[in-house]
Amino acid sequence: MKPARFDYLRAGTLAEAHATLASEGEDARVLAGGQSLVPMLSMRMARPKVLIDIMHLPQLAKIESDGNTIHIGAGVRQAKLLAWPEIHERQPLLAAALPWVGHAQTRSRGTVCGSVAHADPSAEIPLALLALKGAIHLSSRQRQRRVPAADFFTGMMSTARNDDELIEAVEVPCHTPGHGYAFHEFGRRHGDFAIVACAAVAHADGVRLAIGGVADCPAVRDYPDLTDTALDDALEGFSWELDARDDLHATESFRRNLVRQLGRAAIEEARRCRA
Amino acid sequence: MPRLSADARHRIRFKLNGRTVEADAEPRMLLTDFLRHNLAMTGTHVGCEHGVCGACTVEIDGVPARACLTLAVQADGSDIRTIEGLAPAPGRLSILQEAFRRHHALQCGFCTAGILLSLECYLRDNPSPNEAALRDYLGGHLCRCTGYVPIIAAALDAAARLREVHKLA
Amino acid sequence: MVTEGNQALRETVFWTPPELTPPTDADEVNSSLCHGFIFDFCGVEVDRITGAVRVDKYVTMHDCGRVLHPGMVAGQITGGFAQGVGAALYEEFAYSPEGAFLTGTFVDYLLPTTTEVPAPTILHVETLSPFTPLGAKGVGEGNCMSTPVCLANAVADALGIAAIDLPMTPSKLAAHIHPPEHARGRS
Repeated sequence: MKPARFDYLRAGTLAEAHATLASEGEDARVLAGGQSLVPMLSMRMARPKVLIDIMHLPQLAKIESDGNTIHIGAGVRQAKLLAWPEIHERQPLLAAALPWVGHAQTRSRGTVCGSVAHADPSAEIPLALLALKGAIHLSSRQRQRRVPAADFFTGMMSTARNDDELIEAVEVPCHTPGHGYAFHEFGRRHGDFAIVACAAVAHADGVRLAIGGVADCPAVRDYPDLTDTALDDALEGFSWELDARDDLHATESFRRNLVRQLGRAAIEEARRCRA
Repeated sequence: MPRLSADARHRIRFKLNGRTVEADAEPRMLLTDFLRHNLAMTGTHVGCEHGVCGACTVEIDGVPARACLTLAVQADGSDIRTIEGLAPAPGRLSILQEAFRRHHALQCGFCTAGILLSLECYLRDNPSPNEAALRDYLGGHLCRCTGYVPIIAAALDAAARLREVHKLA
Repeated sequence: MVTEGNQALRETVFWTPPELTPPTDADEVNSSLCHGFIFDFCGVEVDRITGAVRVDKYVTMHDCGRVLHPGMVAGQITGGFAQGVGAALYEEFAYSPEGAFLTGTFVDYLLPTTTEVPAPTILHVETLSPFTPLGAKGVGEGNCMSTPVCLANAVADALGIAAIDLPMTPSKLAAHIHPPEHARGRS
């Protein structure tokens, strides 16, 4: 199938993008890399009246870090972030998660913020953002706001973004000395959607574990430094709370088992990486 | 740029294999269809139209890109290379193309153009790949005919020959 | 072919093997003049946690009579092998209980890629066919038949089970490996 008709606006200024979002609301869709949106258009799962192309706004194409946080603009392609010389040192969890996102031939065009806006329940970037306590910077004609990742992903491919807003950037903290990270994913083939994905951050007082691919959106838990059966019990509880379902690729019980096993492996690895 | 109306065709212009080309298209037209139908460049193939098979892979502004996941309007002003631009001259093959021929790295040829463009980008940035890295990279392309072994062999062979050429240059 | 000035002589010959006779009244027919043979063996590793199958080594030996074009023969075998890997481990026309088709795109209908298809070791034995002028038999899609069976046998052997359904998905195999899950609240 081919996409249904839509207008196309290549925004020359952020104000232009805001104005169109304000006047068209849910009938407008922001187009960045297009790797998630264009197939939806082709399958007519999305039928906007207008597409707003934001890839020609230089102020959005930046990766900036002040040493505390990293700001990744909406125009930053996934490949560009992966190739950023400071990524491994400044945020190892993102560096570990990015190679799992699609394939090289989609990372070259897809954007970091686009993956966040699309909010697929098995997506790696939203998961890492949640594990890292990152935040999403939204803007509209009226206002700008900063939404913590924990409040941003609200359900199956739905987010706290209002119809008149666009994502300007996402923010993640820089690596804190003493923290350890791990990213584990299981899928049918390399590059496929995750059946279960785990992002773990180990810090001085415990561990934060985020799980994707099971519930309608990524989910996260904070635990003290549990070991042995206490850790098993905690992961057991988490695995049931995610409300896993049978689907084509896995049974619910298979998913729960992966949460328990891969989750544990991620936590143990993150702890080992704690300096 | 003004808002382009859904109901009209608009002039789209970009560099294709080193020369400026232009034609008209609706905003909803995919780059695959624009290349094949509006520009008569049928070397880029359409395998799935949802970005998975890789047959439509071209090079946009120096990086590999799925043409079926790109709107023609998005490509306005960009620098595009397709399979038609790989051969150095009529009747001659590039080093990579010649390696594919030599190693029987194609049978039906449907996936081949996409893989060649993908490898063009990859070998430019990674002149000394190993097999594992190549397999990882080419995981973004489906081939039903070859079982991939000769494709990997051709890519490794071409990489070695390209390194030789660059040493001599 | 003889050229004389701008003229050329050309001769066309039709040859049919005498063994290929029309169907009998009982509709029996020798539809294949000769048969190639395949012998496969392989080693696989099944991940205890995920149930994922890794093909460690796959050896396929063919007797297709006289090998006429080694490159094309290798191409056919390797391609057939990849399709066999797909059938064994990844590909499925799946339907929901209500009849909805679930694998209508390449996102869900999983074809194996470079990261799933290892290089098979291909060996040849050439027993020339007595029925063909060149002694060639035929080779093509044979591994579509042999590879799924060989992989399934190997996995069945690894897991100690007698029956197996294709595709051998991690979820299906994990059910054979792990004890039954406890009900919620009891670990």
